[in-house]
Amino acid sequence: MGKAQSRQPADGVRARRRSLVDLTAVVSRTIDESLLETPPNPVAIPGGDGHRSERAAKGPARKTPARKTPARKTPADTTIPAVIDSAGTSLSTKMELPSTQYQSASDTSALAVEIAKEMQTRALETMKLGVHAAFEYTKDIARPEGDVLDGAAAECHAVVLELMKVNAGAALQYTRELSRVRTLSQWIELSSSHARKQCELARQQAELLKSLADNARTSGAE
Amino acid sequence: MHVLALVTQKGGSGKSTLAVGLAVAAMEREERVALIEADAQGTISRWKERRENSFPRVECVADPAEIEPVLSRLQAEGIGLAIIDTAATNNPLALRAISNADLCLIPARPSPADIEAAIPTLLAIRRGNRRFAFVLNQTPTRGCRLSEAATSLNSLGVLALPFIGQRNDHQDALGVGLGVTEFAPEGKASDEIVGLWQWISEHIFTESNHG
Repeated sequence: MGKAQSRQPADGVRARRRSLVDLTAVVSRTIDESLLETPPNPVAIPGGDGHRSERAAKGPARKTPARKTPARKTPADTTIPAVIDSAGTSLSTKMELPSTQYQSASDTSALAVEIAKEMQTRALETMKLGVHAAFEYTKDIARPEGDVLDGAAAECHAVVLELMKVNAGAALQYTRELSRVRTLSQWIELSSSHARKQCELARQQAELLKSLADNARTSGAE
Repeated sequence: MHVLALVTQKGGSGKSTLAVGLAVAAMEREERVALIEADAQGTISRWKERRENSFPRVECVADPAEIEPVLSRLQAEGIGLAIIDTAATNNPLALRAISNADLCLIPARPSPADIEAAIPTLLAIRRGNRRFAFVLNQTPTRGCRLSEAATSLNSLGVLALPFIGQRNDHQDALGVGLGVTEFAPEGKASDEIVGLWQWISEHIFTESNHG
């Protein structure tokens, strides 16, 4: 009787081995995404950087990516920026994610799940804020003593309400999808896709509102 | 004074051994060095007990709030380089060490576990906007795994050179209270540590001065 083979053939094992380069790419994305979602310096290290702080200000970390949050173009003189803010809230509020809680995650998957949960909570808060802002805005506009809207202002009003609907819908969809996240790769894919969509959405909305504001100015001048 | 912190939440990655080796190598090159042990495991304290030479001095820190006062005191005493050895966890003490470091060294072996374990450390470092470099540690002397790991770590950030090989001299030196450059000055382990210290000194001094 031959002894049972306890080792798999080397080729089979090698075929299953995970490339360190692939692994690192995932790690890198995880870190970048986490940094994108958090404020620049919330390491939960109490203040008093002491004699280091001056030098730190002079010499930033090597290879620290100069990540920028998507620029929100705001029309110069319209009352619409509040809406842009609500569109951007999903970006800006996510920037407040606490950081130290992730330090305790024992592995990458746990880290991803923790972050996903936190993002879901934030997204829900964002939705609440957005809906509240929309409600207040609508209430103000609808007041009997308010000015009668006509022409460009009325068009602007309609567009703003439509944008609110779009933003609320996007936030709701994202929240739903977050609740279904189970793995690191799913989370990375979802958050990357959401970030891209939000950037594009904010850019398009800013352009739209700017053109509306320009129209309003032009018609006002006439 | 320059502050070098060895950080990663992966245990067994060689933080204490590297800290001791680098401290002695720097001391041999005319640096006034102090080791700060921010790790309850006490590897460096025990190394110091075995050591006959009274230098480098070793300070033990258990409370995050102690780090800055200790650094200030060392600076006042004319210490030129403080090397902080942290525990294998991202506790508040390690985070405070990161926040005070001119350069954070992240030792990592060429393994998925070590690379994954670097995530929380890297997040803390990059959020704190600190400079950092990976050190590929305890590497096999040859093999494609090494270059793969080097490529990987290099994509995550700066990779310090040279790689530090898996050699008995490091452990033997630790066991008799010596730095590896004292234990086997002609050995490859010694050469690698000296090379690593040169790399660090070029980066920590040059960039601090010009940064």
